[in-house]
Amino acid sequence: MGFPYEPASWEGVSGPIFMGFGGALPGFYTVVAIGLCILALVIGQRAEAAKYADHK
Amino acid sequence: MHAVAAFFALGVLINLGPRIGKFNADGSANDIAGHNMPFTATGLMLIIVGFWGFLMGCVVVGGEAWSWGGNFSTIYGTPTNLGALAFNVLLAISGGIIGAWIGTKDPFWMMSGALAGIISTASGLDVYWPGLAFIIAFGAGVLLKPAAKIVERMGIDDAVGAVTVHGTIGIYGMLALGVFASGYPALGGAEGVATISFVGQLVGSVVFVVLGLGTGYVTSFILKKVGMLRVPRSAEIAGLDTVKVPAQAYPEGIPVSAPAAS
Repeated sequence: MGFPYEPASWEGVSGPIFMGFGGALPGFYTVVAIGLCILALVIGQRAEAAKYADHK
Repeated sequence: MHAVAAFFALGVLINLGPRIGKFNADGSANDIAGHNMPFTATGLMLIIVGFWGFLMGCVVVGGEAWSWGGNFSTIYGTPTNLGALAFNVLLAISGGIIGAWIGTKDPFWMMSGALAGIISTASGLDVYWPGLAFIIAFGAGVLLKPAAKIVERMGIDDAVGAVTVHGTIGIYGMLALGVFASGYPALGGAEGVATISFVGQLVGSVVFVVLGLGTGYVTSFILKKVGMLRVPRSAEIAGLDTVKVPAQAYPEGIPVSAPAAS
């Protein structure tokens, strides 16, 4: 997760740069974020089903 | 910034004391619901929208005498632009709302979760990968209500969760930057300026807590001693609208409050 350039300076960087650019970290973070969204969907479905269980 | 304001508020709350009826004799807390949930959620949404303007205000154009160089950057010299920052803010809002929803299912805490998401990522919005911003914000949303309960168990009546949203989550965000952006340049990477580190973020957090809590406590303590900190007990029981506002919120006759004498 360290800074990709030596010495640590933004000099010469001309546009936005996201952490981990050019490596595997952005992909890893994206997969984790997608996993959290799927987790939310699963928990949501269970919560909805539990709330409606007494109204069938 | 958020942490300083939140711990200032905590210092005030210590001297102000809880609202009448908040705590029972055995120390347990009662939930005093807000008057209007839709208005509350709308207000919080306005704050959320305002954050875009507030955070975009931290971007400066390039090529001017006050710029860090020829390109857009943050006020700290990190290269960025409005689109990159705006997208990270959006992901932070999303993560915070979803995290708070998982923990509470409560619209008040979900909107507060959006704020917590923004605040938790604010220190690194210019460098976080959007997916990482989402993850950090999600964590903040999950943490939100348990952290508020800890404040409540300490006997502090934080009516809108401000100490938690801005203070606890502010500290969480500062430390997260120390974890994820360790080694990144601060202030554009100017010579002689230290890079970001976890210890640096930790020391900064302690400084902010002391700065906010100390000044808030002393200021409110003085106001308390001269009798200017809290309204009289009878006015609090009657309701502040009834005591000082010469109009009714619901003139059709719903008995919420009587108008004050004009």
